Amino acid sequence: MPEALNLVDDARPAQREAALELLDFLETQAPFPGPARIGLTGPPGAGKSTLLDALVRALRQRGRSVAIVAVDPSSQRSGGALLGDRARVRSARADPGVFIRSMAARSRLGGLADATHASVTILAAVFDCVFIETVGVGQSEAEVARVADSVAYVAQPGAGDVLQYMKAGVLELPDVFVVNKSDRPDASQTAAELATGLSLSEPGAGGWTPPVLLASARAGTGIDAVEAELERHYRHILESGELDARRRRAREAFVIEALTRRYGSFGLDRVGGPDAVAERLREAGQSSFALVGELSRRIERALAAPAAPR
Amino acid sequence: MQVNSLGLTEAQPENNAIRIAYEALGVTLSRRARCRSLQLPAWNEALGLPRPFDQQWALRTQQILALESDLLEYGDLFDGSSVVAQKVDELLSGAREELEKVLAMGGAVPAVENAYMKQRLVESNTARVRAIESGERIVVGLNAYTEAEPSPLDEGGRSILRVDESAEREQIERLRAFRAERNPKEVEAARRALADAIANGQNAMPPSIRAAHAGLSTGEWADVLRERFGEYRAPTGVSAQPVRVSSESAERVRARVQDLGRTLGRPLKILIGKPGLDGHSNGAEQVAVKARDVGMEVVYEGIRLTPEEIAKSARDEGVHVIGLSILSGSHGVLVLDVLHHLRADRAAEIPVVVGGIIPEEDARKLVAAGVRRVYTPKDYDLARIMSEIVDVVAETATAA
Repeated sequence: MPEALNLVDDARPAQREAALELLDFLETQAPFPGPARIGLTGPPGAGKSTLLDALVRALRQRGRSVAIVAVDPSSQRSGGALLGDRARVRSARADPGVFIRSMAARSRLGGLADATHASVTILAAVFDCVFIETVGVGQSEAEVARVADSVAYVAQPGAGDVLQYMKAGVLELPDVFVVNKSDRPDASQTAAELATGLSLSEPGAGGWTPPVLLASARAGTGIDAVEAELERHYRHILESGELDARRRRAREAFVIEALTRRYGSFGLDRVGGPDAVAERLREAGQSSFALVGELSRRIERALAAPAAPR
Repeated sequence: MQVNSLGLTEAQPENNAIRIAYEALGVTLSRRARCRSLQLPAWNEALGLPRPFDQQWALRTQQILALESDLLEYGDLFDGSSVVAQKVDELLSGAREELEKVLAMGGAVPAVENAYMKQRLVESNTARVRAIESGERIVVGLNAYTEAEPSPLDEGGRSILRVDESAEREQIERLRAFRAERNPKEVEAARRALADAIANGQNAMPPSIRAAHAGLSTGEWADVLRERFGEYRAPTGVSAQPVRVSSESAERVRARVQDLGRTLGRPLKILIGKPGLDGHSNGAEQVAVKARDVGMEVVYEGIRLTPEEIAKSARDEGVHVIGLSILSGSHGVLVLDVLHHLRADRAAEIPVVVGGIIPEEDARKLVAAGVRRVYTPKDYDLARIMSEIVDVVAETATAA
């Protein structure tokens, strides 16, 4: 499996072909709904990794295997990156039931790496639960919502932060809010402000009201509730049909992004633009990966062909 | 006060004796600011572990200072010195500024948790290492006056303490014998009582004492706590912002890293690992920061990893190369163990380079065992080390 993850990150043409083939197989053969894909985001220092560590330990105690894709930003100047989350998720240790792949966001400012969708597809074929962890930098909530079934936002206690969240539109996307470090005196206050802030925004699709939970990853309190709420959300969207819709939107977003990155929106328009992609994915039987391959070839032909005479 | 060994050099190690003596003077000269107790490092700590002789020499250095000089007989020599007064003012205002920052974060504990303290330490050492690399800061014998007569103190790499490999085996045997003599029922009951107490938030001390009487070992005791609380991982401090200044040599390496990334199909990914129990992370941190600054994707997990964990990380993360840092003197066992686990994990093709306080003779053994490069404290030019790591990955990629 580590080799498969290397493959889907490989930019060389032959490897890219092989990767698309493997991913196509996985996406078309994977049973629905498969394992939950949980996004975990929040500002630096909120304790995402520590919370993740506690969640993973709880899941492991019940015998569930866990995979984590941890994305860290790249230096825009050197292109390098320090991928540090492994250090915090201590439960991975030498346990074969826990898998972590750290990824650099590279040229993507929004927080997720290009290979995230592909990596999650691979890991979901093997593990009982897949987490996608990324630093919350405003944009990344939206990006993580595009690959995850459920998004948990980890906040830390702090007066006034909630207003900033609201301004940044952070409250719109997450399905579960966790105020970590609940042993701090201002934690309940922050949770109350968050709940108020949420009550002011539009109710989410399918009648889900995001819960605001208090937890202390360090003391190990509130972790079970976080896990239970994530599971409740997963069941909720599964039953309402929202899960299916989210997965489809994730595939759409992946195809559109993959093509736009390579050929620009000019290239994408040659094959009908985003709407055509959505249309094609609604037709059963073809994976997002096969579609990227097919549309890439069509775009390349269209771009190579001489302009039609007017 | 422990005079730090950060400034000790492997190159011309005899100079360290002089450095240590001057540093001892520095922390004792002012009566009012004098350290309360003093422990000097040995001259050869950049070569390996000191022998009793070397520790004796360090002890004599401070005995000579205390007993052969009249330093202890006067009031503060600096009273009335305007130069020192100004220095003190600078220190005070700097310290107060720093305290304000920490207080604004909510105190020392949050400043540890949000990695602020560790990051400042790493940053300041990065600046120091960079100044040595560029020659801006002179270290005699290392980046200046490097010509040297053969040293009679250096007995062909034998002027350090050698730990007998049987020591570990004997200790394990002693522990095994001790455990065999315990009453297993009593041990189990004590273990459960401890686990119950911490699960219910009760005082852990009484059941801990009972567990000790029942013969629960320190490791077993800690395992009970670990199961409940997990294990604390300190922030690594190396996620700080990249440096703005860059050297020409670093730029050259960066271009090579990018080129190699195209050949490999993805950017060069490196795992920096510190196996074993030594907490000396300065070297590993600087290598991690430099690797990031020349464009590598760096997985750094901090200190105290087992060889097994490192091998698993390397495989799961899909790295192209592993850099191990060991300053404990246990490089022989630990590095071979990592290589062994890599083979067991079917990741034997991942090349390994090692850095640390490693005597030449041991370095040869490590290379014979399959390690691709060995770096010691005299290799202070990090850009060159990075360039060689690129070579190692390129060689491996072509061989595959």
